[in-house]
Amino acid sequence: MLPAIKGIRLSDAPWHEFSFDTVLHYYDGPRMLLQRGREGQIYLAWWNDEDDATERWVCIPVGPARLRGLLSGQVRPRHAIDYPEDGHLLVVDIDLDTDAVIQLVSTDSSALPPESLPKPEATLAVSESTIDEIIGDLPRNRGIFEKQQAD
Amino acid sequence: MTTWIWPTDFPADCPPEAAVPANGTYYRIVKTDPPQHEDFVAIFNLNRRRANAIIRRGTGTPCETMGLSVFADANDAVEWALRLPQIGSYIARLTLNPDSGKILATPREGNSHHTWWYVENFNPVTASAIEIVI
Repeated sequence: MLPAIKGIRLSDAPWHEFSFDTVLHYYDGPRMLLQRGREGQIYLAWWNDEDDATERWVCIPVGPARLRGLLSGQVRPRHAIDYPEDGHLLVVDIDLDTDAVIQLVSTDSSALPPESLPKPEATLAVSESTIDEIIGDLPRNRGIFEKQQAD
Repeated sequence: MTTWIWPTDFPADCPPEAAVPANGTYYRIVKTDPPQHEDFVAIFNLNRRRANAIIRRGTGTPCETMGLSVFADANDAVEWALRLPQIGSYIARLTLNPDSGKILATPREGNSHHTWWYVENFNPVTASAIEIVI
C-alpha cells in the first residue's frame, strides 16, 4: 500500500490515457516519461514509488521552455518539482495490471516524502539532438508550443 | 570456453545474441552497505506485475526485465542516485568476469547504461563493494 498523498483528488485525468510511449530514462525499468495532456499540456512524469500492484508517478507540468531547460540540465528537476509552472503537481497511481488510473491527486512537493524527491543537485542531461527530437516528436502539442512561444 | 547456465525462467533467446561475456568494472545503485542479495534482484523477480506491465506496454522485453541495470561510468550511477534517491544511496563497484554472465551496452541518452544478466549460481554480492556514498 503506497502512502497517502495530501491534496485535491481529481476525478478526471488531463490525458486520454497514461502513456508509456515516450520513455526518457530507464534504470531497472522506465523511470521518466513524457505525458501529453488532452489540451496540449506536457507533463514530465517522474517515477516515485511502487508496491506489488501499483506504480506512482509524479507529473510535472512543463511548457516548452522549461522542458528544454530540464532536458538540457539548465533547470534542475527539484526546482521544477518545488516550483511547478502552474503551481501544482499531479500524483498519479497506475494499476500495474490494467494501466488504469487508481488515484489522481493535485498537490505540491511538500506532500511527497522528501526521500522520494530528486536531490537538489540532480540534473538531467539529454543531448541537444535528442531534445530537438523529443520536442519535435510532439505533433499534438506543436500548436500549443507555437502559441506559447508567440505569447 | 565458458559455458553459462542461466536461470530456468530465462527465455531461450536470453541473454540476447549481442550480449558479450561480462568483463571489467561496472557500477550499480544499491540500498545497503555492504550490498545484499536484495540489491541484485531483477524486476522479473522483484515485482512480476511490474515486469509484465513493462512487457505489455512495450517499454521492455521479457529478457530485459530479467537483467540488471549497471553503468560502466560511476558518474552516470551517481547522477541516477541523485535523481531517484529512493532506489539507493550507495554506488557499488562490480568486478565482473566472464564466469559472472553476459552484458550488453544499452545506452540511454548517450550514457553508459548496460544490462547485465548473471548466471544461475553466481553471487553478485561477492563481486561488489561500495565505492561511493551519496
